[in-house]
Amino acid sequence: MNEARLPGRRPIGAQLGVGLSGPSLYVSKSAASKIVAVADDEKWLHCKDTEFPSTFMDFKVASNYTLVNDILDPFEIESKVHFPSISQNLPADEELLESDLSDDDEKEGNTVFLNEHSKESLVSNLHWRKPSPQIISSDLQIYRNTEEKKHSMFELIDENRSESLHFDFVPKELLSNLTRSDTILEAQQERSRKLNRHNLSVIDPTVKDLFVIGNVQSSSDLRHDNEQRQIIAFSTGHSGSNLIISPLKLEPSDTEHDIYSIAGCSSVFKIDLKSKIKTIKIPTVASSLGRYSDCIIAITECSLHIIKIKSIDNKYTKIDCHVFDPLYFTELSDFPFADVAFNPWDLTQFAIIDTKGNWAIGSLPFQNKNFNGLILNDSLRGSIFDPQETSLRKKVIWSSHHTRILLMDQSKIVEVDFGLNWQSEIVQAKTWSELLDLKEMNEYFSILLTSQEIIFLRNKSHNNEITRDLSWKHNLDHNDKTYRMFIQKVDDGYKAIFFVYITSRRHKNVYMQAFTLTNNGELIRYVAEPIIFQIPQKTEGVDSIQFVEQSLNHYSPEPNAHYNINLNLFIKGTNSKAMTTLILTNNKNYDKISSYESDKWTIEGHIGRTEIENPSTEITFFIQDIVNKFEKTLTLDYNKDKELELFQQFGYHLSESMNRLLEQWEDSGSFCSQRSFTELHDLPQHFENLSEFTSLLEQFIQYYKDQELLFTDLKTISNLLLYEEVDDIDIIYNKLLQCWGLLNDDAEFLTREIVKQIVWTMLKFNKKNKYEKLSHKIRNSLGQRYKDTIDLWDMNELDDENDLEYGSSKSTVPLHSQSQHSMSSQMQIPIIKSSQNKVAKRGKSLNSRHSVRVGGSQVNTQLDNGSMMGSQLASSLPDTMTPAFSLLSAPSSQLISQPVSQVRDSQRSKKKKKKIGGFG
Amino acid sequence: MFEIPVNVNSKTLSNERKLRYRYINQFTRRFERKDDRNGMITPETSEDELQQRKKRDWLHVIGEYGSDDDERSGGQQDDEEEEEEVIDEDYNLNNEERKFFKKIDKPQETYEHWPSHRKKTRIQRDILTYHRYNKVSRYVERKMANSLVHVSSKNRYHFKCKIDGMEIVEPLHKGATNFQLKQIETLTNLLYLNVNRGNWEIAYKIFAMLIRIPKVDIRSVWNVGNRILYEKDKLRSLEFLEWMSSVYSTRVTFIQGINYRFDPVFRSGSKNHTPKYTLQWLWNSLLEYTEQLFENDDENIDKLIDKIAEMVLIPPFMDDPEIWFIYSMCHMVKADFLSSKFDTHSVGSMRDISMNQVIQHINDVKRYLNVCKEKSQGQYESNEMIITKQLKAFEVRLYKEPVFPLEPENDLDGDNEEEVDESNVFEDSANYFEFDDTQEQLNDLDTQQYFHDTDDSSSS
Repeated sequence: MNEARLPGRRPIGAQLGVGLSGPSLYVSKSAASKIVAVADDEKWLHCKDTEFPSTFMDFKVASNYTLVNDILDPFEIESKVHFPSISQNLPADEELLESDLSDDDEKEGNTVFLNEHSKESLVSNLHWRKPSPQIISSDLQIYRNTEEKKHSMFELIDENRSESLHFDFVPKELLSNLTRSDTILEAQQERSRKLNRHNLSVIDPTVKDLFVIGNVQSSSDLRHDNEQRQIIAFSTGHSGSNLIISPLKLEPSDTEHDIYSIAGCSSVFKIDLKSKIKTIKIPTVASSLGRYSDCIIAITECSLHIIKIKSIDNKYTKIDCHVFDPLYFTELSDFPFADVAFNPWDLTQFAIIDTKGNWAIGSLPFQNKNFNGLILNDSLRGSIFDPQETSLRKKVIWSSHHTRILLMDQSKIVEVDFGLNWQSEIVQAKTWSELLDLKEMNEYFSILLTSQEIIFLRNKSHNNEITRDLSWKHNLDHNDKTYRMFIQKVDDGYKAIFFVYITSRRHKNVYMQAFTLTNNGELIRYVAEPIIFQIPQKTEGVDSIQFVEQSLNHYSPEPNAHYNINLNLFIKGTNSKAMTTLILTNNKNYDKISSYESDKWTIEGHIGRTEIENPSTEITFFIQDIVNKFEKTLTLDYNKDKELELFQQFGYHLSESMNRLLEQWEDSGSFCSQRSFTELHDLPQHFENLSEFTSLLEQFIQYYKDQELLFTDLKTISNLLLYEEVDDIDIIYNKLLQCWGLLNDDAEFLTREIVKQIVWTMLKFNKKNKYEKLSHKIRNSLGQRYKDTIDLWDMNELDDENDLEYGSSKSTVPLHSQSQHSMSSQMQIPIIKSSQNKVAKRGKSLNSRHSVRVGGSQVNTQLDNGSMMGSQLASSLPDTMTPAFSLLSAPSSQLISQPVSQVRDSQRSKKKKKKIGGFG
Repeated sequence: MFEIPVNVNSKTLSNERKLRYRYINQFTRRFERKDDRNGMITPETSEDELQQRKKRDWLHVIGEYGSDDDERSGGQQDDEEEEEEVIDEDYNLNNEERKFFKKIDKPQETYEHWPSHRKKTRIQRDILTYHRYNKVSRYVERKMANSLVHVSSKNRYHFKCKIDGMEIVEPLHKGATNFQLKQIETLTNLLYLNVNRGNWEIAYKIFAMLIRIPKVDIRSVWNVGNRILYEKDKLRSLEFLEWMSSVYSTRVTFIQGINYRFDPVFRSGSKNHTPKYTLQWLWNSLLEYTEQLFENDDENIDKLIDKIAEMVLIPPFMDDPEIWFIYSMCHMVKADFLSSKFDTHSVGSMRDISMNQVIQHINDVKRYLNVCKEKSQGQYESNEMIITKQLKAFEVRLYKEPVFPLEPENDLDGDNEEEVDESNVFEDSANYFEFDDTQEQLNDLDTQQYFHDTDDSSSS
């Protein structure tokens, strides 16, 4: 029976939008209910499909997980480290940190633990913003340029690996408070700023999907009557020239939604196309052929590549492909290819268009011939170049007939029948809108996205012409030319639902509207008002969305429940190579984001485990770690009076274990690698007096320095953190507090804990004479020429030392006055602010700290000048030291007595004298 | 993210347009001109020219010849002509846009031009080569150099990207330049978001605020207002649309020569373009009044019919097939209602009157559908088949036996067999003859045929 169409004038069709309902047709219930598919209580055939419940479009983001990580080439990185997946069930503090490394690996040591990438992804995911640019000195850089990989301090030994995974400590509150990155992204922007001052990012409209998901059915599958396989193809690599084809698997899961994963590295097909990939496509095949395509098309900057899938292993372990010789753009004309489409009725024929509108029909080579290249037909070519059109945006799709193609540029669509040698213009858009995207929907319809509307083009109308059937005004900003359209088809027995997504690169909001089409392709209607959702990934815009085939669940016992669907979306954001999966659901019972995704961080292949960590795993992991640490310290009762006792005990334990270690080293006699303080002893649970802690460390270090041990200088730590050389932990703490104090009420506590942990994990020591022995040995093994060179180095150092001694002795007298002057000019105002804060909060402890700070810093000056003269460019010392003599310390140290560390202070004063003597 | 209902204009934007259209115009002219020249036979070179060419070649060999001048091979005469043109254009720099749009048809019904009768031409076989493109574009770029000097660097960069065919992600006109614009932007975004999320109360408030800002043209957002009011109070939304139709005149003529900043598609009407809010008003009223009618309130629908009857006397409504379609739909609703109310037990003049009423309406439907067909030249998709079938069913109701309720699908199949069934219903010939008097009013052959058939069968 001929089904009704919507009324409307023919070339225009129904024009719909929010509040625009368009024409309707009266349907008398008793008279025509069998002709027209309307709901029982409806008297009109609307443009709106009223069959769906009103809540149908209430889609929410239910869950998201990462399919492919944001690493350049997921199958190249030999990830030796497996970050354990975190689940809520695990006992949080103990089971969390575990190493999957075998014993052999551990002995090898020196595994690069933290690769540069995971750090970058961490930083970019944090989206740091400078909390308050005025406070922080301009050269403070939190993560950039630290080059931690090369630094010896980061060479960890294996025993404590589980304890110190990362050196970037990020409090949870910071993560939520900070929203924008100031590191990686900014660096990129800075680079582009040099190129164009206005910081405009330019995109090529011919760059389309850089990853596709689709079904393929190879000829061997057809022979063996196998079903189609779902595959994913995407571009990777530094220049985006590697194409990876991998099976996409549906993981068995007991959750309500589907979980997809891609296979491990052994089962993917990888090819380097030698040029940046612009578009990847999987051709669509007419439904009448009853099969799927077996080709994957990739357009690069200079050529067209077609890869034919010969077979996919039944267990998804191997993809066997045949790669045709590429077709270079010079074969057609002088411009790069923009788009390609396969003939849906002939799997060997394709149409191609270049960026200026030159098009041609080509075909795959015949089998059993020596020639393996793609052939362009010499007679079937032409051009739709329009001198009024400057954009490179060009599209080609197949029309209703096997010799007809539709060619689109930004201002027109031309239908070409290369069989009958005619072309005709279907639409011209030069006035109020621009054509942005054209997609095949099914055999009846194509969808056109303009800057104003979504337009459904009917391919087969009464006289075989293309007509505009229905349009939806989307009200999106028509100045944004970066919109892309994606269509998801969901089958529902007798009608199909088409979800049309519009994405932009300007923002990460996705516009989504649903349309239904009856099975015979007659009646197309919209479902409800469109919705807008935001994708949860941290990205600036959306590059592409891909889908898997889905259908409505008809077997649900509940009424209306088969309208509840979970839509699987595969999303790639701009500026990232990661592909994530998003699940949209309109199921009302689905309130919370499911906890499943927190478990699902790693993707496991069949042969050989390739872990692809989610960058945010590390962060979650981190946060968990930090929270645990903090919780531990928080739970203890803190007693200020007992702190001294605590330190004494701690010092005792520390030196005890140190002695033990030294004995061990003596016994072993061989070369001993660098050791960390964390090995010796854990930090005491809770203490507040950081200056006391500093002085304890100083004494400890001083004592063992005499025993020829080398220690990490505190200044190095502060230099890495603050770009200033400060040797008092308390000052590091204060500086950090200036930055973080504004962010959180508990900043004092958090900062103190962080500083403690940083210091404790970064302090390393080694036995000096062991190194000397080693260096002796190495030196002896060298040739004379190299020896001379090394000797020359020593000479320089000596010279420096002489200069230095000369310089320092000369400037001893003015040094103090000089620093007094410079401190007032160099110290920044907020320091006063922060000290006042502390006065209000902790009256007593302040006294001791300030006094100790003065003492401590001076002691260190002395130490440095004395023992480490050669290693530092000491002429710069007075300048870098000045902040240590801070404003706040000067007056308070005179006023207030030192109740806690009197004993040590007296020691220090002795040293002070010594020092003066030394300089004099 | 969403389109704002005011016209944003700034120097940057107008400069951008100026540059773009100037480039396009120059390029097009040069490109097409080359076309012509290619078609002509090259004239023989004169002695003078040969000398010049020789000189130039020698200079080229020495290396003194500027690369820019390469392009002059067209001859000096051409260059002089072009120089004149350039001077001319400098005067008309503002008119570049108008010049561009002069040749372009500005559609009113749609944003794009959708030709109803497509011309089929031979395939354009000439492939554009880099050589030709480069020649033209270099020439045009040289011509453009002057106008590029005086624009801002941002404009220049934007222009360069545009002519390379690239898209720029960031908007050229970045955000609001004043507070009012900022407010409009924010309100518009909030408005659409809340409409999409179905927060009608908030959307109502936002809309009320938005339209009170002086610059905002309600014609750009009336559809959203209609949607919001529809949720709040259906009748209010009808009033709103009626107000829109009465306040904004349709008596203006749409002049192709003017460059409109706003499209007329959904915004306005003219002498040959029915505004969309009027159509929306009529549709919404009809849908609403249909509901009312079946709750036995026929006052409004009669008023609507009267109103449309008045409207179809004046342009643009008299030429709009959709108005005629709505008109016929009104009568169809009426016919359905009256026929379903028709009491087959009634006798005498009461019966005649009500029967005549139904038939009158049925005829009106057919008549106006024909007008609709005429006005659209057969281009209106009116589902005539379905309408006719339904009308038949309405008519059948008048004659059916109350004892045997008619199965709707029987008369829809339209088979012979069904007509035999029908014949039983019309045993009462008196009815038929009574009907015969009014039959003259029926234009439609289908119905006549139908009743002749039944006549035959009943007499046999």
